[in-house]
Amino acid sequence: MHNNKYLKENPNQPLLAYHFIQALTRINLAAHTTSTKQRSHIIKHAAYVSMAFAAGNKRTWTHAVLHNRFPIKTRFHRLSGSRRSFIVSLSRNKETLHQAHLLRSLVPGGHAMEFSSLLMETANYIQYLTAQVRLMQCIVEKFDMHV
Amino acid sequence: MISANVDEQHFLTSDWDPILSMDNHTMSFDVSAGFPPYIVGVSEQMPNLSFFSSKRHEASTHLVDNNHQTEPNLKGKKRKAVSNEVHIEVEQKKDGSPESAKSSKEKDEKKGKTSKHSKVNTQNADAGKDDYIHVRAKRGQATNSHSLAERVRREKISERMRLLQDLVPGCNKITGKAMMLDEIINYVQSLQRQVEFLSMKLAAVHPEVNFDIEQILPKGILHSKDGNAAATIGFGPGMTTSHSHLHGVIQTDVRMCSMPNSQISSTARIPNAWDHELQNVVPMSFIDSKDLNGDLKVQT
Repeated sequence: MHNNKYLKENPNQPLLAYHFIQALTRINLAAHTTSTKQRSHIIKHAAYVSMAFAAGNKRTWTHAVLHNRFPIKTRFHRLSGSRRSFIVSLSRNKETLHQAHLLRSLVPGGHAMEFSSLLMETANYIQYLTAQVRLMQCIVEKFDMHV
Repeated sequence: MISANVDEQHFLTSDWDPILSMDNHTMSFDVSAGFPPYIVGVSEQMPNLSFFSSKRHEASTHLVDNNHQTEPNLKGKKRKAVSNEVHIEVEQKKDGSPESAKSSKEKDEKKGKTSKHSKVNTQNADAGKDDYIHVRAKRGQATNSHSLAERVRREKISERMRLLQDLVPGCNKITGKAMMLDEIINYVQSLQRQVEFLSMKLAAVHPEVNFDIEQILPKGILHSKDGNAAATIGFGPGMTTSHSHLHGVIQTDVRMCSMPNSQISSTARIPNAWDHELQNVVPMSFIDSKDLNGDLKVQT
């Protein structure tokens, strides 16, 4: 039973691309009613959602993104006080405590995990973030070429 | 004697396996009396061992005394060999050499609590069958269950940090948990900032282009299970020049990521879930988790 390591799968790029571009088309349909600033916010949200969608519901961070709207409102579930203090007490170094807290605030759903699973989630999150960034760079590049 | 050895090795493992090992092997001593039945071996649990540890310690010393009576010369002979062999085993991992180097370094760091009875050898044989972690207490270290659990946890964390080291570019030379964490945090922050910046760019560019995804990305790609479908997206029948650039996007993007075995399940229900997501952008509706699990059979 591979409980310790998740399988390190490669992000599913076609699925990511399909969903993100479909989102872009829909956003574009309503382009005349939305301001640019508003639209950038919506596009960013769509990026995170398509990332989480492509990654599947198995991961904690995808769950946090899809159900808590992570980038817009950081309203993910926090640990109850007692459990958090227990986890905190295990790392004796204050600097790592601070860093761990920072990492938890970066990764969606990070406050509800212990440190080792936080690291795994971060790895997965980084994989999908890089895939998403590459996809968006491609799209922007193509637009810049033709405009 | 061999069976006693095996029993001992099975017993002196991490916190949550004694229940399992008692089920599997017959043990001569009565330890089963006080152990609560609910602690069964799953690696991710937080060990809650306040009352546990005392009983464990008694039992371990009792066991080791047994061992010492039968094999008095073993310790002297194997003194050198232990430091090379001892490593911590995680699930089905068989490669012990990097671990043993690391653990011998760890051993040097530890203050020498000379508990004589903490020398056990690792076994590789039946790691695959069990789903709990075998931990060996090294020579000169406490066999307290707390420290065993701590060591397991630390090993897990350092292993995952090494995985992360491969992901974050330019982190090969950085050693040390604090610096690695700094790098990771910086990287994640920079990626998130990139996403934000690119979405601003896309929002600015967007109103000038009107494209239709139905013409660009034929539905065939998502229904086919062939790994080469990505490369053969093909020029759909209704392609005009204004759409061709976006088609180029999809082609370059899909080709540049190597997906040899990308199997995408049928998307009969995916558009529904996506509609669900985006049509009510502000009051976002939840994706039904059943939908997601049913559709996303892509990662196996």
